[in-house]
Amino acid sequence: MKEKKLEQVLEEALSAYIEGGRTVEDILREHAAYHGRLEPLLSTAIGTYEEFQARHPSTAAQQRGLARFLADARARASLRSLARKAG
Amino acid sequence: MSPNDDAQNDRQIVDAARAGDEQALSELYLRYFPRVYRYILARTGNQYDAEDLAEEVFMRVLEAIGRFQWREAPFSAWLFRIAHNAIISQRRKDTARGKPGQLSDGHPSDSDGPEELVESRSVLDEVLEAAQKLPEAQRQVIALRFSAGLSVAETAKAMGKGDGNVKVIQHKAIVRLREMMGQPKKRPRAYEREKA
Repeated sequence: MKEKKLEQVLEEALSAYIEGGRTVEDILREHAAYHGRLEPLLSTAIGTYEEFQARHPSTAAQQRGLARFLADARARASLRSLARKAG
Repeated sequence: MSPNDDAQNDRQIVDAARAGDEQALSELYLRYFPRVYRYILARTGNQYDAEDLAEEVFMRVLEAIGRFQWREAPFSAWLFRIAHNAIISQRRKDTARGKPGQLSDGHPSDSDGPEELVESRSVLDEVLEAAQKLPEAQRQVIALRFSAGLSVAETAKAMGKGDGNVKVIQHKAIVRLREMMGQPKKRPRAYEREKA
């Protein structure tokens, strides 16, 4: 069987973890032929992914932004409505 | 939810938001704000800048959403291009003002306890510092794929590259991060993930 490129195997492994919800053990077992090269990269990749996913904006910033976003949307809708009436 | 369900759901929300539906606008904001925040955090390394800039990105979304076309790119790719451009604009402003680039002040996630915070802050700082040293394309892939949580296909659309190219860049970035950071200090929680 033709050997896959490591970037392809890494992406398959990452997708199986991130989008597929698989365990690392299962993923490594599935890619046993690449275990030695894949395991350290997968460990760094998943560690990086988890580190970022554990970060959340503060509730205050999120609420403040949402209020501003909706207020601006309303203002834009009013302007559009006025323009239609004028036009 | 499968990726197809997710895409279909995105489409309904985005179409309703474009028509001015306030509930859809709220849903769109709440769905994407944390991802845009994390993306900017990965690019700038500063939590407070990331919050402010994420807010600005959504104001730009309101300005531009009427021109968004489904046939050109998925909504996520379009949104993260706006976020990318907002970061570039902010950097130009900062440079003009003589403000240096910053790394994270470190900031807690809501769920961490005091001991985890100390450890977690240093791990995040280490990741951010290493990511800042990557070439631009690698940094962009890390920010989009790992921080914003985009798929390879979405990342490719957002960057205007092919899927294969993104996989190569992703691989190089991870190899480089591994070289810079060594073995992760704490075992990723993935190893403790229970089997379904």
